[in-house]
Amino acid sequence: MSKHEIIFKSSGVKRGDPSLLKTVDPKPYGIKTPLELGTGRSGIFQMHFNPVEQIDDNLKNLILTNSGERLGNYGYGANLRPLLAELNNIMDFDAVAMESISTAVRKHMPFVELSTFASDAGGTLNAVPGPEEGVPVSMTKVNIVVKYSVPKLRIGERALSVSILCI
Amino acid sequence: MGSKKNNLKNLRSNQRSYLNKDFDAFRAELTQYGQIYFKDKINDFTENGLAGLFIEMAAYIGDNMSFYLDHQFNELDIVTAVESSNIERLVRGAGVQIQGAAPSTVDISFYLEAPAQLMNNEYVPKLSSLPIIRAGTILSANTGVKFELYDDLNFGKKDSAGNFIATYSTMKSDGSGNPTSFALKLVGRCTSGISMSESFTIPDTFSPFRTIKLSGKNISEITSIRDSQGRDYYEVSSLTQDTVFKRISNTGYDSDLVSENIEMIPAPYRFVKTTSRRTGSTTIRFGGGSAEGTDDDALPDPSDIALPLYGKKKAFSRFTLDPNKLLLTRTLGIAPRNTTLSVRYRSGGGLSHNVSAGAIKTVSILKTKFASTTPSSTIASVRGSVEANNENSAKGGEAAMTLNELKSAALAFRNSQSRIVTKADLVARIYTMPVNFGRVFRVGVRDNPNNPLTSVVAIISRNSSGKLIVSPDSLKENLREYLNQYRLISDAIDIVDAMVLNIGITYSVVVDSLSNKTLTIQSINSSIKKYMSLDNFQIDQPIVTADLVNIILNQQGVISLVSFDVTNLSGTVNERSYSNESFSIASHTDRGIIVPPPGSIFELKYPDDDVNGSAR
Repeated sequence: MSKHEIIFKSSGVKRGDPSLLKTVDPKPYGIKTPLELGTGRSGIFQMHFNPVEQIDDNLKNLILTNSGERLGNYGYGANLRPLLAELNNIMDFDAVAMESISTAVRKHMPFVELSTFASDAGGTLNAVPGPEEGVPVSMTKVNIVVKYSVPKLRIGERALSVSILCI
Repeated sequence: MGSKKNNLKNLRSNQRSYLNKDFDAFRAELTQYGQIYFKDKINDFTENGLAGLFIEMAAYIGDNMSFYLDHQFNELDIVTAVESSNIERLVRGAGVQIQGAAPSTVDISFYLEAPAQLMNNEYVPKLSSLPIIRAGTILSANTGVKFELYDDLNFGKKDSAGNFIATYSTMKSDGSGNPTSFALKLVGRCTSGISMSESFTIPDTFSPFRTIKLSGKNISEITSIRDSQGRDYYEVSSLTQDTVFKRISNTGYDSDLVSENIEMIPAPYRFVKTTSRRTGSTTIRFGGGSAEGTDDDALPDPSDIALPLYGKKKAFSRFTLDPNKLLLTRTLGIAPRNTTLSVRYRSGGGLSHNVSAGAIKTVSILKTKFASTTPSSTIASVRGSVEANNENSAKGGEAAMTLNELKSAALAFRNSQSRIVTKADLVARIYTMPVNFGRVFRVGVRDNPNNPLTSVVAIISRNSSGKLIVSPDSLKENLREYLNQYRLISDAIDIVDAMVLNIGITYSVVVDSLSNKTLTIQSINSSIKKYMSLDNFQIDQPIVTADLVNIILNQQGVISLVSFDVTNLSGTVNERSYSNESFSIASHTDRGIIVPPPGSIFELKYPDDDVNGSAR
């Protein structure tokens, strides 16, 4: 029986070898809004390192953007401001707002599935928030809560709350 | 809706795109760039993320820059340019002069009554009572448009035979039937561009290419610019043009046919005019040189450009030379300084100035000049009798050209040139020589068999009764001066008189019994005269005898043509004077076509006598 020579390289490493336990830094997904100076691994601006947070941020920006606000992309946004300007006159504000939001989401973030919508105009539509909140008198603050999920990323139902001020 | 979409599509397809990138293309490229080079820094380049927003901003800027780059390139071409200022610039660059509304012109008959006098047993208008109606006389149309007389009308002028050039007829007679006064008529050319004058005080500071802006609108012509030192400034097409044509009154024997001679004179004091299409105002730009310099507008010493040889060098090789150096002068004309400029110009125009026939009857301002011996009572009565009438409608009045019209004019102008290269250029130049320098009726151009660089130009003129005559010498002199400016230096043009070949036509026909023979012959003669009219003939144009035979046979009542003959008439025949040129019709007839010798033209000089027909 002849002796076999075995190369040491073929012996491999154990699963618990320290070289295999090196941690990999997560890569940033996108810039966090509102812009903040970056800390740690973020770089110049604070970044999102979690896709869920990024989608949350993007959806919020989509809902808060109105037509014409994006350079070169006129139709971007849910365009809620015109609706809010007519808040007193529109009886079915929720239905119209939901339609606007779902249209924008279908067009720009089709992977998001919207589930519920709720709005709150401070009890009455003409309610005037106090100056302590930094809101000028005679402006109405409308809170909108949208619940959504992202099935493709196996993200369960999340709630996004946005506040919109209108005259 | 569909046609609107198509129009937009056509418009876009006509426009150039030098980058062929729009917002979407820029965004896609920037996104790809980010994903490749900054994948470890950022992942979300969708339009929803802030990175996408920045990319869209950059794409927006790129799209705008691309648009303006395309726009700028489009503005360089007259076909695609859309901005009016750029179109104006390109049109001027193409050589088209932008003008405001154009004035109309019209021939107006001036009538006056003058006393009669007996001279050589004949009653004629009294010469001392005949005025010169001066240029600048103003007439008004019933629409309010004013017309101005271009040139003096001298009612006392006589031709070389001693006859008044004005037509006259008896107006009043005494009891014995002798005329006591005559009505005289002369036709003068008038324009709706009214003369105006303006003065400009030029300070004692040297300002090259000084400009002055005239207050009048729709200026069609700068008549004169003269400074307080009496120097005339001449209008040129560009300031590099240093000579102009000048009109000089012709006092020679042929002044009846050629009223003025042409002369080339240097124009150190010159200007160009530009008219703004938008405002309709005209700006005058003078030269850039100072009159104080000694070599202004003079050629530099040619020896200044001789190649110097230094040291012991005894040979030199070929060297390059810019021939323009010899042509360089320091200035492009002299800028006025410390003087007062008096500018006279014509202003006004438009479609409404094309007034109808008979509309101009009012003499608003009458400028006359009488002999110093004329009694004031005669002056008053003659002036009081002056009347005017336009027998034809005024023509030529046009609104200012639109941008599209200017574009078309510039495109057409590109093909033309200010020099004679082709035969068509030569013929066009001869025909467009101003009429004051003599009028050429027909031009024939052919090659000189002895010299390939020479063209032989045969010219012929007409006298006042419409007969062909040899062009006067003054006309040829003027033509030489005029053409010399446009010919290429290596080309030569021989101006010769065209030969006039007078012909007669004789024929005999059989007419059916139902037709009147006399009337049939008259109809045939009339048709032949019409066919042989000078208006239908050019130099070197042959006569096709079949056409004449056809005219005869097609006449109603003609059964057959018995004989047909074309004969040459020369010298004096039956007391009628013909051209002295004689030629053999038979030897110049080939297969029914009578071909004239080179440089000659056929003329049926006395149509009533030279066409003879008989009927059986």
